[in-house]
Amino acid sequence: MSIKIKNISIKGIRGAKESLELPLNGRSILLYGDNGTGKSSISDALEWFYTNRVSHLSSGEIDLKDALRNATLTDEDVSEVSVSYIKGEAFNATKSLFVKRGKLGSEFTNTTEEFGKYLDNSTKENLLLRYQYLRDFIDNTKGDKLKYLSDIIGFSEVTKKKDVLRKSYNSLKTEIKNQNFEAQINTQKEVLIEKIGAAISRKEDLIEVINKKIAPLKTGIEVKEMEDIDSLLEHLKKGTNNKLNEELTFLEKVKATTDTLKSEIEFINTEYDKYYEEFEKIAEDVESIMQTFLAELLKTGDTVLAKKYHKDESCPLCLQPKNIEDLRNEIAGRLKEIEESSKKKALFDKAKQSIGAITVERIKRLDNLLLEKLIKQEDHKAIHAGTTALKEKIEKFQRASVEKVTSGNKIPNKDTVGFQASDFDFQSVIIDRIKEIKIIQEKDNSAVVYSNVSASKDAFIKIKYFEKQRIRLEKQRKTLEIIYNEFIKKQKEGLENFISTFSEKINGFYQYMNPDEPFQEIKIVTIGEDDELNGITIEYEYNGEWVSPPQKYFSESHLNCFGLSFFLASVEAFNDNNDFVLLDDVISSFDTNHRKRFAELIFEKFSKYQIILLTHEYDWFKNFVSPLAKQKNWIINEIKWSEDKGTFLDEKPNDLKERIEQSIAESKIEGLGNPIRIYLEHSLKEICSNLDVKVSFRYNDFNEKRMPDELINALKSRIKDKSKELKEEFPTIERVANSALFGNLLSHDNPFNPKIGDLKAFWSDILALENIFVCDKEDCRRPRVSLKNYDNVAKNVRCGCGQTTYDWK
Amino acid sequence: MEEKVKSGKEILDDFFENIGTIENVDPEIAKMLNKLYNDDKLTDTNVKNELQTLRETDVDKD
Repeated sequence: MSIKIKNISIKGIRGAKESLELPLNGRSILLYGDNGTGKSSISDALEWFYTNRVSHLSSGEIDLKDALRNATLTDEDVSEVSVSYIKGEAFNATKSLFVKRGKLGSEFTNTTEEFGKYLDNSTKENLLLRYQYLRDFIDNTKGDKLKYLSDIIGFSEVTKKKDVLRKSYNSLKTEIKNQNFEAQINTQKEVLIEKIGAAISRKEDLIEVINKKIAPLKTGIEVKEMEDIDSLLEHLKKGTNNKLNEELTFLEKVKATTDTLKSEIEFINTEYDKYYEEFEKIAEDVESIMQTFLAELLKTGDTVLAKKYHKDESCPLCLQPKNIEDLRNEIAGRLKEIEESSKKKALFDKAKQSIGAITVERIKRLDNLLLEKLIKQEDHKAIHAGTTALKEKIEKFQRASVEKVTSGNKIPNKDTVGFQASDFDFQSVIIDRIKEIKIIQEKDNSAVVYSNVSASKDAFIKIKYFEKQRIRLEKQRKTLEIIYNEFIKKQKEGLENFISTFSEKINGFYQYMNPDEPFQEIKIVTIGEDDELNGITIEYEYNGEWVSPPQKYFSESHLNCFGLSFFLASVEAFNDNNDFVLLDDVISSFDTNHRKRFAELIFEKFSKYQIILLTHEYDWFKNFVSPLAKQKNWIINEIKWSEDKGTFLDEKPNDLKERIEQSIAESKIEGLGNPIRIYLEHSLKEICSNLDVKVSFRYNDFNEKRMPDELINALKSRIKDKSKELKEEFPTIERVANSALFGNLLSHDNPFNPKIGDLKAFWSDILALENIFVCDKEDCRRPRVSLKNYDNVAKNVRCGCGQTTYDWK
Repeated sequence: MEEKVKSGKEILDDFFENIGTIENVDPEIAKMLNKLYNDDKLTDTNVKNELQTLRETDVDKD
């Protein structure tokens, strides 16, 4: 889309009391307005229209809606901003601000989804630049600079997705560590060694050993596959004491699980100790962790100071006297401290997460044992008690892992709750009972074989299961690692591509405004490692050396030039919908040379865009920009202010006439009442002034606000006394006065909705009236009929060349 | 700008569309991440759960 503005109409907003129209028709406009004339009403209105905010009215002390309303309006008055477009007619809309039930509310007339989307997209575009925000980007912290650009190009979303991938990768690493496959596999290998004399790893070897073990029993069964082992076990079970077999299986399971846990004593204790140390560190300095919650507040405070929302030399919160620069340095120092605290907290969180996951997994394993039917039997109450005690111990770890570090509560140290070998003393009961069973089974060879085959089969399957689990997790971890690294690469490429193209553009604009100066190769650069970009800074080459930040050698003008270059580069880079920009007094602090170069830059490099250029620099406006603007067919105008009208556009009658005629030609009569009234008033005032028509005395502004009917009556009265020839023109004059539309115009700003035919006829009558008093000869230098050209001899009033002459006694 | 710079969204779209072509990446995981991204459900919890499901599906295949 290349949307340009056709018309902006502002009423009752900021300085604009009456309707302030900018009939642009897609053209650029140069507007001069002295300080205090309210030209920023236009930028305020447009900013509010698009973003629902006005940046310089964003202080908490200001009620934006209230501040937007013209101060003289009553509750019944509605404030409005209407914008119509070229190449975007569907988005034409009026945003109004009105009092409803004692409160100020606002709404758009255009409620289509299409318009909502356009508005949403436009909010992200760079449509408006004010002088006071030129240095915003430069003054931002390196992190905020990155955030600013990231938000615009949608990199914040990229960062979010990167975080998801990183967390997923980390969770796999944690899972592998927590499972402690090595310990689990080793326990099962020990079972194999005990039962069949070797920690075999191949299925074929297991089958071979089993076949050897069962050979003396002459079962007639040959194990060929794993499934055959089950048939063998069924066969062996028939001749054995089944209860003893079950008990042995149960005891061996408890032993294996508790053996694994025992082998993990150091691992678990170390992980808990790490957590305990991090907990202590944080608990001893809870204040610094609490400070991390203040980071956002401090950042906001710094933004308030950087953007000069608070201009006094005091703290914006407590209002104690304070040098702003000192305060900002203090804030930077505190933010640095907070950054350290955040790092500490990250270490703590990692340790907490690790011990949490470890305890959950171990409790699950012990719960499995506690669900065993045999563990509840009286005979095994020591085993039950021992297992329960182990679980309780782990639960202590778990409780400690969820303790809030800011609660002030202490958590037990490793020496108090850590696992000790003695926690596993109850295993002696298991071992003894296993021995007893084995002695019983020794008398029965089948039972011994059954027990060994069954246990070794289970251990073998478990080893294979753990190995597969480990491989799967490793495979997933590897994949996530590759994906994450590839993502970082793409993100970096994307950002670098953007930054280098963007830097080139900024440098181009900057060099254009600052030719032959020693600041070269201005660019924005990223700070931080590949996977943890933490900021952006600006640097340039100065006398062969790279300099950063730019404030080091840049003058005020240079800094502002950079701000402008940055904005213009952003316009080209990010504005996809709109081809217009509003520049509000942006050259205020520029020296003459920079002002000149800026104007040339705008006219030369930005001719594709519709520019709304506001300035209060009269010399620049008059002597430099106006001639260039004229050449480029820009609209040039002045903004003025009066107590009566508020901010208004001092439109030249010729421009006004051209606008009215164009609108009539296009049959676009909406809002045409005001310009016609202004034109008629202007025209009648000039005629009356030229013929010295007298009207009653009025003070100041009321004198300005003469109504057309008053002027026409006074004109007729004067003509009646002075000129027979002009009296013959009364029918033409009266056609205007008697028009049905004339009455509607008497009230300033009357809603005026005539039919196009009536309007054409009325406009034609106004022109006919005007033509009575204007010479139509092309080379007439003073075409207005005026007493300045009064012929004393012939007693005539006439134009400069004398072609249009009337008797005048 | 003359040379089109990719927006964040374009970078993400491209990355997840071509995630399966990255060398040595498990196609099942690539497919899963692509689907979560397209369904706007790419969160660490969802990825963790899906990875768990994939591991379990793997076990079933054995």
